Amino acid sequence: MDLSILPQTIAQGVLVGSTYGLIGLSMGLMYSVSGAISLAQGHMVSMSMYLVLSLYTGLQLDPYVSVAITLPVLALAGAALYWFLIRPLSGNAIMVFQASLGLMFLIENVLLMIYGGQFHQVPSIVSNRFITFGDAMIMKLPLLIGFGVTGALAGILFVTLEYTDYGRSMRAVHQNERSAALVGVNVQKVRLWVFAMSGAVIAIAGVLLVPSTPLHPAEGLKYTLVGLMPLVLAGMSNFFGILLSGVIIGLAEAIGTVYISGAIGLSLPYIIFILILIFRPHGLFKGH
Amino acid sequence: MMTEHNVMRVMGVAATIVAVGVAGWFLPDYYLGIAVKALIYIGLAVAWNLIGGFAGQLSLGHSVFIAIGALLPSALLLKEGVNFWAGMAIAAIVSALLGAVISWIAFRFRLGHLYFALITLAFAELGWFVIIGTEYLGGASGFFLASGPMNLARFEFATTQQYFVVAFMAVLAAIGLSAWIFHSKLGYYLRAIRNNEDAAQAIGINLLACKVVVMVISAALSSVIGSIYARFSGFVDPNLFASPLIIIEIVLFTAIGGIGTVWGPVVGAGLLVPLGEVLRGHLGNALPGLHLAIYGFLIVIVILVMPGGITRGVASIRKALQGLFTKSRSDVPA
Amino acid sequence: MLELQSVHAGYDGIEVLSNVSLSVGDGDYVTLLGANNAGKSTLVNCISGLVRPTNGRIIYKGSDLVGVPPHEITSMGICQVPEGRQLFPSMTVLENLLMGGIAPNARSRRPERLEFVFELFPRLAERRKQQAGTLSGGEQQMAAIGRALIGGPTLLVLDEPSLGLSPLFVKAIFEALRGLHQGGLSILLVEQNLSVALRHAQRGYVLERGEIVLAGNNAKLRDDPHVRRAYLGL
Ligand SMILES: Nc1ncnc2c1ncn2[C@@H]1O[C@H](COP(=O)(O)OP(=O)(O)OP(=O)(O)O)[C@@H](O)[C@H]1O
Ligand SMILES: [Mg+2]
Repeated sequence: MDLSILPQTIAQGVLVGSTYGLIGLSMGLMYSVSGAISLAQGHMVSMSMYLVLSLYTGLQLDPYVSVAITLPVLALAGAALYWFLIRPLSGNAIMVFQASLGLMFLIENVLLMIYGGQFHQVPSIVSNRFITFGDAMIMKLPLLIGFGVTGALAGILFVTLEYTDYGRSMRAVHQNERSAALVGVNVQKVRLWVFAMSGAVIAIAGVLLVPSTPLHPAEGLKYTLVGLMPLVLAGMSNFFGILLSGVIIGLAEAIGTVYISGAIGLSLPYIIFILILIFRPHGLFKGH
Repeated sequence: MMTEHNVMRVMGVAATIVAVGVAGWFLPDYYLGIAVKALIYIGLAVAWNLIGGFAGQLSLGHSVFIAIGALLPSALLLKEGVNFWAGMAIAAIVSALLGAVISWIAFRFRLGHLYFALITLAFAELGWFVIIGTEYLGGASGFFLASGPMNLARFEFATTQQYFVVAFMAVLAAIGLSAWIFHSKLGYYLRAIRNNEDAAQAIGINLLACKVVVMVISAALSSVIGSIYARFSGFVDPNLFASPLIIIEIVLFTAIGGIGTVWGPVVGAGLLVPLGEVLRGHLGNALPGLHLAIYGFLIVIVILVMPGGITRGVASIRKALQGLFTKSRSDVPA
Repeated sequence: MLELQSVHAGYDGIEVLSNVSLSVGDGDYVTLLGANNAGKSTLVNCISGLVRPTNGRIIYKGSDLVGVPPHEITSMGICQVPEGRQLFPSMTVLENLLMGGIAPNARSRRPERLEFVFELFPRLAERRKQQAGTLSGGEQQMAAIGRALIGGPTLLVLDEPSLGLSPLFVKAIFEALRGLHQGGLSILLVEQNLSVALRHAQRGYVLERGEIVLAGNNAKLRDDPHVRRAYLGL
């Protein structure tokens, strides 16, 4: 065991995990206002990453620039998801769940049709920049940017939820939908907006992943899973808990890959996930 | 008690089964292959529906049972020379035990439906990693099962016809088992549990026993049909048998047919597998992915239009038509 | 101001309200009385837009409310205090009150109304930072009424506000309502507690199995032999 790369490994895990937390956050947002989960969220991440690819090959846009386009596009996709799938099924979680399985097939294979089954890479001007901390750590700049963006988003989300009418309306719809309607919240509109936000978060996660991750249509399920685990660990709608749990999953992944060889190493995040649930069935952030 | 209506129904079902069997036998080989595949997926869907439909526990971990059923007997046969029948039995027992453990964990922590689905999905992914990383189970490359002339004692078959017969009998047995459970006391308890767990418990139903029993049956059945699938495929590919995608497909077939009904999984897999194969045959070469994209789109549409699945959708249309008829009849003055 | 004309309503084809007509005039204090399951909450929810009547009209200030979504009805000045308070449990008292004024046309006057509510129920001011879910039943009812008031209603609809409260709190709440009524607010009060309701309201309706069986001023209702027997146990 080479302990000299431990700090580096931990930092890597934290940085990657913050992106996983974002994917979980996008699911937590939709769950909090609709009580339903779409398993196709990871495929939406793939979609946003491929969009970045197209913008790069077509317009030579750097990933960090193209987010200006992918963000509104994915926000629209999120709103459409609500309008055409969740609303007609009136939020019936089991039905939505099933329909989202079909959606997974749809998105994955449309991507396969358009981009083919080979791996793609999108470079960014910052892809190969490194930042060194002392002599123990060398970090890829994209990962640092990802971490910074996640932190900033968490801050914005916190302020919005705690101190604005908009955030309070979101919480109201989550806590008591009928009362929210009675005090004058347009519940439908709040849901639509939150789904759009969920899509926007996906777009950001996609852009953050692109410079350090190869693209493939079949990767969607993996993104769904790495988002799902933090979501469940945090008890579904504790947004900050989700971001933190994302870091736990990212750490498990980094440590597993570096220090444990073979299948156990690769599956360490899943093992940790299941173990945590066995010992803390209601998630990490609730006393029980 | 058998009413006249029920007798007619049973006879109708029997006639359909015979007709399908006879028709299947005479299909050209390519289509017969599709039929075998459809039968196998019907079997898997029926097995999943026991826990996912009757008990309402959307397990996405069943890919692990299918993979054990496919890979373990193959490994035992190729590495230890264990008879395939014995291998099938061992795999079924291993799957059943694993199923019991999962059921117990879910029960112990009173996981809600959605939660259960999410956690078993992670379990499926974990299972995939473990299987691909285990050399004994073929690792990432899987196994080739050579097949000689037909030998029932070694569970080897030569022609597609023979596989058709095997799959057909297995599916009949699975449907029989499923129908029997559905109409038994256990089936009634499971529906009670699905509708309202607390109320079921209040009237004295043993939740743990019911859930474990049905999970064990479902896991073992999935494993056995996985074994048959492996034999039929010849190439036992972990990327097919152990990937969570296989169970996602099976859940979709069942959802489209009608989750929680006896015939839903049969109708769903029976329609969608051939559709998928035909789409692939016609479009797969033109544009990879097109057939699956169409497939995914159709699935979403069916769920939106008939949220209870095709069997329930058809039943309610029939009821509406009947209502129309009786109404127009009663309009006629006596 | 509000007039229900032959309203029918129900759930899944089962009729709960049949042919209900009633009216609340400007500055009225009207009570709707009935036993459990009579359909009182259903009626209230028809007015608020949460339940859509299958037939009939609900005329408010000249326009029909049937089909208007709940949040718009609130903006039009009908605020409901729902049965069982229905606060947002993990928000603070202050946040719950702020939510009461979330409608776009209510936001600008939120600070002054907040002050008004804190004057009306000083207990709420003391507990403004406490989570609503941890309040006592009486305090929750005050918070629920306060939340509705911040919406700036012209008609306040209360669904069984005395339910499960100690006499002291019942007294405090009805005194507050009397003050609000004297200040010009119209009130529709749904109650099972007839003696309290008839002491405060000017007139009332009796709802039985979804139908209005009796209407009149409070003296008439109090002296009605059927009411005395069935509701007051006299
Ligand atoms: N959401 C609903 N879905 C189906 N039935 C309902 C629903 N809400 C109420 N009901 C039924 O409508 C009838 C009237 O209920 P409602 O709540 O209007 O009565 P109520 O007079 O307010 O009773 P209480 O004094 O107990 O509050 C009851 O039989 C009830 O079961
Ligand atoms: Mg009521």
